[in-house]
Parts: sequence; C-alpha cells; structure tokens
Amino acid sequence: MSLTVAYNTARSSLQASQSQMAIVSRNTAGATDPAYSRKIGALSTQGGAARVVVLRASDRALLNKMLETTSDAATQKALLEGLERLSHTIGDPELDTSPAARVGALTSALKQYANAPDDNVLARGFVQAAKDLATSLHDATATINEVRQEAQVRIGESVDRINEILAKFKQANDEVMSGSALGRDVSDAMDARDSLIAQLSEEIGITVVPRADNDIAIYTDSGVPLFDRLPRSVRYDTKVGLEPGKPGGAIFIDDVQVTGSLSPMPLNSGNLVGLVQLRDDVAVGYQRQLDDLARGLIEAFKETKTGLADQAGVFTDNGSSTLPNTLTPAGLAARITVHPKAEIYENIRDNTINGTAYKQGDGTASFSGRLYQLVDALETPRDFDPSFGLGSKMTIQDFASSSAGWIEAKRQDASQQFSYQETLLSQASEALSNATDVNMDDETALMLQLEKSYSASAKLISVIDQMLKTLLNAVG
Amino acid sequence: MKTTFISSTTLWNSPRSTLDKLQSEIVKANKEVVTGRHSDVGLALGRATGKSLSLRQERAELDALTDSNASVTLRLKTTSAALDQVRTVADNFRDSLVGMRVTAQDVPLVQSQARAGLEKLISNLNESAGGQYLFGGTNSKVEPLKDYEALAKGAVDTAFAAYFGFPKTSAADVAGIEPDEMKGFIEQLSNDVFSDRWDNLWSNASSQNIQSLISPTERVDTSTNANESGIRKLAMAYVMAFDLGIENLNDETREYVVSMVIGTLGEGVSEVTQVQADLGTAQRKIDDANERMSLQKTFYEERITNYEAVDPAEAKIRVDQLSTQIQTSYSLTVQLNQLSLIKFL
Repeated sequence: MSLTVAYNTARSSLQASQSQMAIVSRNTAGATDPAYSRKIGALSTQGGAARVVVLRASDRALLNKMLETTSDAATQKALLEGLERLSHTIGDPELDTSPAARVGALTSALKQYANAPDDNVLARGFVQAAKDLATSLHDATATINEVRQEAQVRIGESVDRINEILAKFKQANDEVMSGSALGRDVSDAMDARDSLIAQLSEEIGITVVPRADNDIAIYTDSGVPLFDRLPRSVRYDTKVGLEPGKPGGAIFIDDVQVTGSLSPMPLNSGNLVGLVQLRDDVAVGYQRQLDDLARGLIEAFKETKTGLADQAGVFTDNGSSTLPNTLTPAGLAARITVHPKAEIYENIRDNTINGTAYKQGDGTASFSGRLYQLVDALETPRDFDPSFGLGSKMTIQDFASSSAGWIEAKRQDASQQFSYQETLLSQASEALSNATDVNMDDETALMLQLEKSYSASAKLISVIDQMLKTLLNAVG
Repeated sequence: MKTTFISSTTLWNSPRSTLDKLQSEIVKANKEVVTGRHSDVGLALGRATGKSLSLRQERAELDALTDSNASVTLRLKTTSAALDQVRTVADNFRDSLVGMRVTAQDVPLVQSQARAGLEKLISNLNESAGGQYLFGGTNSKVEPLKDYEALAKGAVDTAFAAYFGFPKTSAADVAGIEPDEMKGFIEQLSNDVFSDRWDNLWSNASSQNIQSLISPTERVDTSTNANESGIRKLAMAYVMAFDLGIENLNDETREYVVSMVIGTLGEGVSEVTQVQADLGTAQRKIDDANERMSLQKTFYEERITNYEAVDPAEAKIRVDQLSTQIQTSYSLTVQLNQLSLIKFL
C-alpha cells in the first residue's frame, strides 16, 4: 500500500534530518578547532528511503603543502633562536662588547702604551684590554657551549616526541583502517591522525603516502621510512659527547643515519634539522673562528729572538709558552689567557716575558721599539683558516669583524627565511582551513534548511496519519 | 561553492592574524624613533655589522691617538719652554761677556754667573712633566743630568793636572799658561769630558729620543735629550768660565778663555735653537695630524651613521601607520564578531 510506503519514506527522511542535524552540531562544536575537519552529511535516496553517509572535507595537496611549510618554518625557527643567542656575543656595535670591539680596544690601548711606555696607567690599560679580550673570547665560547648543550637537550626531546607521536599515530591509523573495513564512521579518527601528522611535521620533514584501505605510510623528506604499518624507531646517538669544534651525536632511523656528513639520506627540514644545524654547523663554525682568532692573537704577541725558539708572549694557551702549531686549534678561545708575567709591564716593553734571553732594548723607561713591533704585528695581515669563507689573509681586527659579520649575516638570513616561511605557513594553513574547516553561518543556514525539511516530514507523517484515520473510520 | 568557501576560523582570525606582527613592528619603530638607530642593528645590517664594528674601532683608535697626542704636545711645549730658559740664561751670560774686558776684579762675578748658569742649565734639563723627565730621551724615569760636583768636576780637575803637570790651585804655575797651551787643553777637554765621557760623567739620558705614533701611519721623534751637542757646548762654556782657574791666568790667556766661552755659548745657543726648531716641526706635524684625524673622525661617524642610523621622521610615520592599522584591526575584529547569522534568527 502506497500510503505505508509514503509513511516509511517520511520516517526515513525524518531520521536523515536528525543525522544531518547531529552532523551540524558536531561541526558547530568543532568550529574553533583548527584540527577539526568539516563533516559532510551526504544524503542519498535509494528506493524511496533517505540515508546519510558521513564524509570528511579534506584536501591532500593543501595538507602536504602545509606540512612542508611547517617543517621549513620549524627549521628556521630553531636556527634563528640559537643564532639570536649567539649574536648576543656581538651585541649592539655601540656597546663595544664583541670580540671585534675588544680587539680594537686592545689595538688602541697598545698604541697609547707605545706612545708613552713609561706611563704605568697606560700599561695597565693595555693589560686590562688584553684581559677583557680574553674574557670576551671565554664568554663567547661559554655562550656557544650553552647553545650547543641546549640544542643537544632539545634534539633528545625532539627525538622522544617523534617516537611518541609515531606510537600514537599507529593507534590512530589502526583505528582508521579497522573502522573503514567495518564501515564505521572513521572521520574523527582521521582528524586525529591528520593532527598527529601535523605535529610530526614540526619536528621532522615528512612525506605522507596514502595507500589502500585508508592506510597511510610516512617517509622522511629524504625518503627514509618513518612509519609503514609499524613505527620505525628514531634514535639519537648519545654516546658522542660535545667537544669544541666537533659535531655531536647523529640521529638514526632504523640504523640509517639521517644527520651529519656521513648520512646517505640527510633530513632536509624540521625542528630536528634546525637544531642539528645549529649544534653542528653554525655553533661549531663560530667556535672555530674564535679559536682561530685566539691563535692569531697568541701569534701576534709572540716573543722572538734569533737563535731561540719563538714563545708565547702576552697571550698564552692557558699559560703554556708553546705556540699553537695548527690552524684553528680546537677550543683555544676558551683557554687563551694573559701571561701572568705581563703584569710586570717592563716584561711587555722589553720582550722579557720568557726571560732576559729574549730581551730587546736597553731597559730605559721609554723604550718603545718592542711595543711598536707589536703594533705592527697586530696590523700586519696574517694567515687565517680559509675554510670559514672569510678570506685567508687579513689583520686580526678584520678577521674579528668579519666573524661578527658572519654570525649576524646568518641570523639575518635565518630571520628573513623564518618570516618568509611563516607567511607561507599562514597562507597554507589558511587555504587548508578554508578547504576543510567549518563555516558557522553555513552550518546555521543548513540547520534552518534541515529544520524546514524536518517539519515537512513531520507534517507528512501527521497528514498520512490523518488519511489512515479517515480510511479506518470509513471502514470501521 | 568550494571556490568561495571560507571557514569561520579564517574569517574571525583574519583581522588579528597579523596583529602580533604589527605590535612587534610598532615596538621596533618606537625604539627607532627614540634612538635614531636600527632597533636591532645586527639583524638589520647582517654581514655589514662587521664593517660597522671595524669603523667604530678605527674611530676609537683616532680618539686614542688624539688623546696621546695631547700628552705629547704637553711634553713638546714644556720642553720648548725649558729650552727657552736655557737659551735666555746663556744669551744673558754671553751678552755680559761680549765687549767687556775681563780683568782680575771681574773674575769672581763672571765665575759666579757661570756657576749659576750651569746650575740653571742642569735644573732646567732635569725638569719633568707628567712624571716624565723631559730631556731623558727614552730613559725618561731617571734624572738626565748629574750635578757638576758629582763626577764631572773631579774629571776636569784631573784632566787639568794631567795636562799641565800642576793643579789649577797652584796660582804661580797657572799664571804661566800660554794661550796656545790653554787652546790645546780646551780641545782635549771638549773631546773627552764633554764628548767621550759625557755619558759617564754628566748624563743618565738616552740619546734615543721618544718616538710617538701621532696618526695611524706617522711615527715621529717627539722629545729631545740632554746629550745633544748644543747642551754639551753650553755646559762646557760655563765650566770653562768658572772652573779653569781663570782667576789665576795671565790677562792674555784669560782673554783667550773668555773669547772661547763667548764662541762656545754662541754655538751652543744656535744648536739649541735648532733642537727647538725640530721640536716645533714635530709639534706642527701633530697639529696637522690632529686636524686630519678630526676630519677623518667626522667621515667615520658619517659612515657609521649611514650603516646604523634610521630616519627618525620615517620611523615616526611608520609608528603612525602602524597604530592606524592596529586600530583598524581592533575595530574589524569587533565588527566581524557581530556578523553572525544567529543574530538574525
């Protein structure tokens, strides 16, 4: 009987409206959650009955774009934070606290001292300037070490977080897969899974590969599998200590090294990459420059005498009189000290820090030959390690200034990159949000529509009920 | 529908999505208005930070050199003043001798004048400025000249006795000395006590003058010393006048000695003038260097400003623009929040 059919159809339409209403309220609840993706209640009518299938708004291309920019921005962010700490060793040029400014102060003090070698005030000024320079090199090294230690700790945390996210990802992925096999509504599980992917992309650059049965595999941006049915273990080599001038421990995924120069498939982006770059490239490079600067200073102030071995003068490697024999001796910037015998100013004036065998001059109070020799030594271009890219032959002052310029250039670059990546990220997440998030007004409008359709169906049922009543009354 | 779809999150966040950026910009711009420099010089300059640091050091070095030039100038001026006195005393003594026939009665006066002249010479040359003896050369911490009585007098007396075979106190013998004999003795004295043994008998000074770096590239002698030949000649003239026993000499030989004294004083004074001229040249070089360095300093400051400074007017305009933007963003946020379909139901 067609009246019964109409009744059933109206009832199923009522149910469909209710399900859609439920989706509207789910969407409304998730409107402010950026990780929530809009659910679409797709209405299908089959044989007169209405059914609602829950679909999920998603856009793989936009999601991938967002993952990529998230990783890139995270790399630059980690790098920038470290570089900002490192640039504190330079400070504002106005404050004259950088090693370069201290070298300048030393040169000025030396020149003043050479102009009046009998003036103890100026001699003290020079020794103080030398100590200030040594201290600023120590402080800079300490800052570099702090930055590296902190990066080390954060690398450990990042690795832990990756492993944790991968473990959670396994659960979410399993739920999605089993749910879709059983035909359940897995859209919330998929949301959870996508949000885990987004979190993961902050730590490490990833590529997401969707597979059959709603499965997802995750690879690093360099192609190492990170999740394939099962999470792969990410491990951090903690056995390698932090030595000055040397890179720290590498990161392995399933025993494939993914950071460091030996890595066959090095990671390209993510917080982890930024931290490793900071710890192993930037901080180490800066440290090596300071070490070479310290070497240049020790050499410029060395005491010489024909027939005798050259020995360290005002500046020493931790009090030792031997000169550093290689370019960039590791950790020298932390060890450079002013020779205790330089406190007796005559020793500086007469070249006698290493004993009277090296003596120059006649012992008169205003003998300035040796001091002018030192001035010349400071202003003569000398060899520096060319691998820093600062040039190979320049004065100590130029080297110190170039080194300061080097670190500030890195910071400027990281800062520009970061703000560029941030802009890209905000555009990408806006685009993704537009594609997958909820519009409240749209939901409200849909609600009104559903209300109308609900009351229409309800009206239908009551009309059919009336008709049946009329029919039964006529029969009865 | 998909192409124009916008999520509520995007819509509500759109006015304030750039707000934190605007606010940090306004903090920067405020700082720039106040200081007239980039708020973060290192970040703004990047690699050029090194250049700016170098320029600052070069400028500081000019300051340091200008400072030490000031103390060099003090030394040069006091040295020159001391030499002025030395010259005046010598000139006065010479004037008193010239055209005067020194008879036996005049001898005590001449001798006391000469002795006073030598003492004045020694005390002038032992002057110090700022803890530094002016005429010590590089040996600037030791009094340059010893007292005549300390060593030199003994040496002169011994030389006299050795040359003539009798001491100068032996009046009768001394009266017999001929001008030629005296000439020979004076020559010997000049080569020995006032030349070869000068360093031992008279002077602690070093013949090496103090050198100063007066500009980043120029190093010049900026002192003189008590071993200059002009000084030695003056000392010798005084000693001849009071310590060669002229009271006992015969008139002819005394006249010869007095004429030698006048001649030696003249030579000494002109050589001292030469030394003063050299010091004057050094002083002029310093003045030139100071002037040049003050110009250079201006250039350096300009270049540093080029690197580090911002236009405060531009920064002020930026502050104004930013505050307008922030205000707009606030009011848009409020308006958008009122924009909801719910309100119309």
